[in-house]
Amino acid sequence: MSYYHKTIAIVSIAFCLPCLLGTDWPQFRGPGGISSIADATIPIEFDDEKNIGWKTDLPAKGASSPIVVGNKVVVTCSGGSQQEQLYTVCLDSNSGGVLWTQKYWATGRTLCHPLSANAAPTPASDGTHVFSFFSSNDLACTDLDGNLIWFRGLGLDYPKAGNDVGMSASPVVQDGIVVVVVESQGASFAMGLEADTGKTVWTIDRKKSASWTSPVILKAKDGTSKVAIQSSDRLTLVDLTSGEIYKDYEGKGNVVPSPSVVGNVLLSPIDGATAYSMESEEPKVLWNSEQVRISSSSFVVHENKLYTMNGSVIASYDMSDGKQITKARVEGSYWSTPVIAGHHMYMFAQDGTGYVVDLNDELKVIHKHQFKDEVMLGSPAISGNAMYIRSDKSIWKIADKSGPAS
Amino acid sequence: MISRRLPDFLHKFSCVFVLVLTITTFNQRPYAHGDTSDQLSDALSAINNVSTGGGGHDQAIGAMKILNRAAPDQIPKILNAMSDENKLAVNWLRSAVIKITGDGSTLPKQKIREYFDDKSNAHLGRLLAFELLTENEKSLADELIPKLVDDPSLPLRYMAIANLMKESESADDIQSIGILGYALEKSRDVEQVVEIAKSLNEKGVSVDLQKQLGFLNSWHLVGNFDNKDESGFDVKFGPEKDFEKFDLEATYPDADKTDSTWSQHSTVEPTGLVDLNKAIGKVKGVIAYAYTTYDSDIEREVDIRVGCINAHKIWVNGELVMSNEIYHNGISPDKFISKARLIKGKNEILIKVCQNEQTQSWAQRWQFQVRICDETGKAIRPESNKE
Repeated sequence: MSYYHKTIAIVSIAFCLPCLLGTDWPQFRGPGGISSIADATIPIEFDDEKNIGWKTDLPAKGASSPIVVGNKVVVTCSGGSQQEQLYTVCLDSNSGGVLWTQKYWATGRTLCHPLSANAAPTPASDGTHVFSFFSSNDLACTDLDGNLIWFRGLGLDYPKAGNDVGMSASPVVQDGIVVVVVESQGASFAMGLEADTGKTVWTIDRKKSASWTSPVILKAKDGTSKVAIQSSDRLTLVDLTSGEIYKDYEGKGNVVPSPSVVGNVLLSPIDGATAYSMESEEPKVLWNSEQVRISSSSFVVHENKLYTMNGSVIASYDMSDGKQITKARVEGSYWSTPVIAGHHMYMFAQDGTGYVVDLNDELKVIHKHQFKDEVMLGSPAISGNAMYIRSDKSIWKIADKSGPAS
Repeated sequence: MISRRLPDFLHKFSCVFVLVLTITTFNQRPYAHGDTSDQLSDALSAINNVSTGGGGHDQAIGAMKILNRAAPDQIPKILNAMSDENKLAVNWLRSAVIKITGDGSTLPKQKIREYFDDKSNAHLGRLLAFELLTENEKSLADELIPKLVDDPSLPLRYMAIANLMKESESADDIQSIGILGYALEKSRDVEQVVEIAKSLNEKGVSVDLQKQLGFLNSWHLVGNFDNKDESGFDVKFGPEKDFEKFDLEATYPDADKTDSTWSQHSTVEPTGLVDLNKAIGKVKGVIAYAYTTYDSDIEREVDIRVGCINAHKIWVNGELVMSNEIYHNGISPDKFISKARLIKGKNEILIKVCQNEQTQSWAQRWQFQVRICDETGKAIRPESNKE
């Protein structure tokens, strides 16, 4: 490529940049794993047509959540008689059109509960790559144009890793390291891989016990990045770069909901719920509360409040001390984690019913709509003023079509 | 007038110019034509060298850049590079083919068809060829699928069997029984076989699933050996101490220090499930052994396929072929698969099934199922149970 060509290309890309900018939702439960965006405006009413930006059919089912990178929405799917066909699907956030689809054949165990799917972990992106991880422990790295960069079959490295419910811990990525956590009765490990090459940087053994929680990345006092891994019997902080154990806290860990990071506070579902301050060299327990009840859905954090779902009960707590503020009973059975935009919480039940809860009015449900004949297990994603939710068959963009560009 | 139009024209011209240059810069396929054979061959070799642990990635990542930009007429060459031996490499290669075909370019369908028709080619490669040929061509899929009932590629065969099952739904009873009977013999998928058997049963035809799928149904059982705190998995209790002098008349001190003896047990469960809670008793923190023999008419390698919700080990003729220290992690017929070497004549199979002390309601099962088949899943029946 000549200098002139390069210059023209760079200028052309620069002109396109403004349309690529926006609030990304690059991983499971969004930035920090807190499932909220304060300044987003999402419609508080929607149905099959009203405030639906678009709906696009997906090639197969999935329990994973969509992520959003620039103007691209990425979602994983799995199908085939044994859930052996794996897909990464990239859609245009504006039109819902499929920009590209990559396909893989599972190399590891594909057994999972009939309700779930091989595509249960949510993909992650560092803004340049997409890391698609599956219950079969297959990990594919593509660029944002769908070019495969590398592919790992971690089930070949750890043939006994997995369980018949299906694995669902989502990857996280930062500082050029993508981290996956696989914890099951047969084999358990956490692994850091070079984002650019897929080569293993570090591996640590974990207890052979089932856990479906996803890791989160946080900053320690010294500025280094740590990965928080919640297991059945402990919460471990691992150095992102070296894989060395930084801190290890024993406790009774919840094995389904995942930790969250709120500024310099790590919030983990261990011994009920525990908040750790990372402001000092020795992380300090800010509060612990066994009264914080949480089931399958992870924490949602918004404006110094912590929200949980325990079965059909939603509750809010003060983030500074873990004391309950209010609670309310809602309908539905949930696997997904709600999201908060503005002053509303959006929850999607397994039967495809979406609920909107007014946070200013004692957690009152102000709107509901069932997308009929749909199974919704994945959590919504928010970017700009749009929310994306997938079912076992389709993905929707919920946005005010007459409002500001989202 | 002209002076006002000129900037407009220049603006439009420069926009088009930038667009064309951008497209040509990023969309060129330098290996689309000309002398590319060596580069492609090297790239394919690099991909086929990827291995577990990220092995070969340095070279493969560079190779993918070449493959992703290859011309569609190179697809047959990429398909030919696919091997069933390297499950990782086939995924890299598949992704390249998908990328190459992503812009709707014309495919070399004749050569892809030739690759597909050659059943000696890689199973997954042929599956990919099928997908390329039939995407947006339903009539071709309808033509090809019925011919795949004997296909060595199991996903392709699965489609053909599923097609037969669907066909049987619109046939009259006699025709339907014929179609389903044919599908039953050709299917290699346990769930599909069970489904076909169910349909046949509804039409009054009973199917011996144990025989059809090769499940072992007659065992000698002995228990209970100590597995308190899951401590017994690697302890060699009596039955596994001396394979050379295996004796069904032997007695062993069990967990209660009393003598345990072998007892005969036959399962009538369609998929050969042996429920030790019923056969031996509902006890926690213990181990049972199950022993059986299998007469083979020839020396051969077989698949031992096991469903077991408890930690277990299996020996064939005294050789350990499977060891999984996993408790209460689900059960399905082909969950664990190992190769085993059968000798001509009598073969001895011993399985150790460990129950732990978990108290949850979902952690009470103590059961296993074993079948012997070839690598496609076709039952290999013992001499005593042949047609």
